[in-house]
Amino acid sequence: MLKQWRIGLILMVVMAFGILISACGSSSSTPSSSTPSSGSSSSSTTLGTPGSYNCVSGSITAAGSTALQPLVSAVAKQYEAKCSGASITVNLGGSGTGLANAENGSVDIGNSDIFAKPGQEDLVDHQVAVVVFNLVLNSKVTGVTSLTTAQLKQIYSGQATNWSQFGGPSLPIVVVSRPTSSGTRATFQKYVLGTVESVTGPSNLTTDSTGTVIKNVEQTAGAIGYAASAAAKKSGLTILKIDNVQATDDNVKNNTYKFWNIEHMYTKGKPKDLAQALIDYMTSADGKTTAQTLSFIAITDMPQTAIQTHQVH
Amino acid sequence: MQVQQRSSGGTYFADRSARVIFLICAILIVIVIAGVFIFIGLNAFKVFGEGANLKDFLFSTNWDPTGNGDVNGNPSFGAGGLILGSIVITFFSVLIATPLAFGMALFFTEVSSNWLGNLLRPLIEVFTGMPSVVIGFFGLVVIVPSLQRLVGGFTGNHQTAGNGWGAAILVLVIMILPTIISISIDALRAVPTSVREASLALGSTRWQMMTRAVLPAATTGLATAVVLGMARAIGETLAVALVLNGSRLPSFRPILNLFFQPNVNITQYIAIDFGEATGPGRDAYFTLAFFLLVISFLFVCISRYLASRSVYK
Repeated sequence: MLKQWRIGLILMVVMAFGILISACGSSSSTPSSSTPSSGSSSSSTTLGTPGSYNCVSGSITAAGSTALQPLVSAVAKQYEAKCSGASITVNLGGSGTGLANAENGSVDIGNSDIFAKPGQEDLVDHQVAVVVFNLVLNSKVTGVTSLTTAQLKQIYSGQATNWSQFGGPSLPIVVVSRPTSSGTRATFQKYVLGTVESVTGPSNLTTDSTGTVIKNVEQTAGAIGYAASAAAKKSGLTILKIDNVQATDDNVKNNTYKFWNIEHMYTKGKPKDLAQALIDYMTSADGKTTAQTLSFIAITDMPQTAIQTHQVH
Repeated sequence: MQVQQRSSGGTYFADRSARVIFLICAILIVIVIAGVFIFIGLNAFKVFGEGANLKDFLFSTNWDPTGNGDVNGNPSFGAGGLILGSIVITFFSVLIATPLAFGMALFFTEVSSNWLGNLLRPLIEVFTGMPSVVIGFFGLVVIVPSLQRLVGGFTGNHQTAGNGWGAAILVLVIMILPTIISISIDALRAVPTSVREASLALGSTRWQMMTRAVLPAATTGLATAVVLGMARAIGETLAVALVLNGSRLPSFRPILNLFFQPNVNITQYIAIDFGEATGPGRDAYFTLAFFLLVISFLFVCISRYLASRSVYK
């Protein structure tokens, strides 16, 4: 009896070690198996052609931006379905994590909402899509459908504190923000407000993800918040016009609606063949359709003049 | 095949191999723990060479490690509010949960009939493994709105009332209660019946028997229960982040603001902002993680010390 128990325990421990060792083995074998393929790629020099489909077998990992992840995952799935030898893993983690991981080589592609920081010069920027954001309102704020930039500045600096100032009901304004490092917040500050959000304290809620922002705007009377377009549309909350401009694709393309930003896929130096193929495939016909259904705009559909306005670091 | 060899080859070999395997396990655990401490420690002090100083870190309350919330983009590393949040939330949740848990454990072991105990015990054990995100979500949609109705009139802003330390403490009490109860029950069951008999024979009432004899006799086990509950409370991230929703410490007047207005703690900020942070901001989160380790270390030491002062030896 005792012996059986002991043998079982020993077997379990051995198994646990086996799993541990095999896990270590596989993680260390990934970069070594990828080295020859990247070596061969430098000799063949297949430079990327955006929008093309090129089947490359192998496996890569992308990580980072939560905003870009749905698009990359969907396109990667389509690519894997077409090209059976390819395996693409897309992880979350946030833009900062994506950039840091691409920098230290633990992932092949770092997805990011923001430009690489000083000190990350060896990262190569591949701009793949445009993400559109919306300002959303709590349902108790009736009668407000559009705000001007000046009005938004008043709200986000704490000067305006009640919706009655903007033709709404007499209800205190609650600002639902993202934390300061958030790419979404940075986009809002840079291209809409033109300054920083300075509402802190009781009239401010700070939440981590698009989902919680939506949840808090729904739940908190008098709340205003911003979220990626796909989630904002799905939520059924009032989507505000900014300076009387609606958030349509056309208005984004001519940059009259300014609350959008470029999504990046960073690679360390020249990308692996499969990474390059995926990045190219992001702007293919399939990629564009997927982008549209997920409320993104493929970068190749954006006029160059509009893109230039959002190139400032 | 190995199993056959072991079971037939005698216990000597099994004994030896078991000892080696257990030794390796022990070494592995020490390596993992030391590794975490060294890794966090090495990264924790980088930020002090990048513009932060220890005094501001401990006593200032403006936490903006990437500088995106500042007009000039200057980061500020004031973690005072975050550290205070982690300490206060953990302290109060343990303070509330411990007597409740001891009471319930006493009920199970000393008062309730066996069949009732057998019915409720599995229920509590199921609750111990309740995913924190589920409790956090419950906190967001049930506890926060209820607290808002209760105390909304006495705080700075009615709309956002309910978020904050108070909700976090309640969520944590729910979360750590089952842990403390389960382990306390085991500790109380381990007290020999002779202790109870002796106490009753000396003429004590049932209440005196429980408080003067059984509880002191189980001190070590009960301390373990509290420490494990506390460990869960300190490290809990997701559930707490869902109900805190603050960006910085609110004003102290009225004092209820502290507990019932959006507020901060260490784990919340790590959860919502670490992934997006880059550069020195990223290093600052390692410093926070280090402080969290230190706080949990201190809490464990204090409770072990209190337990060791037990009169019953």
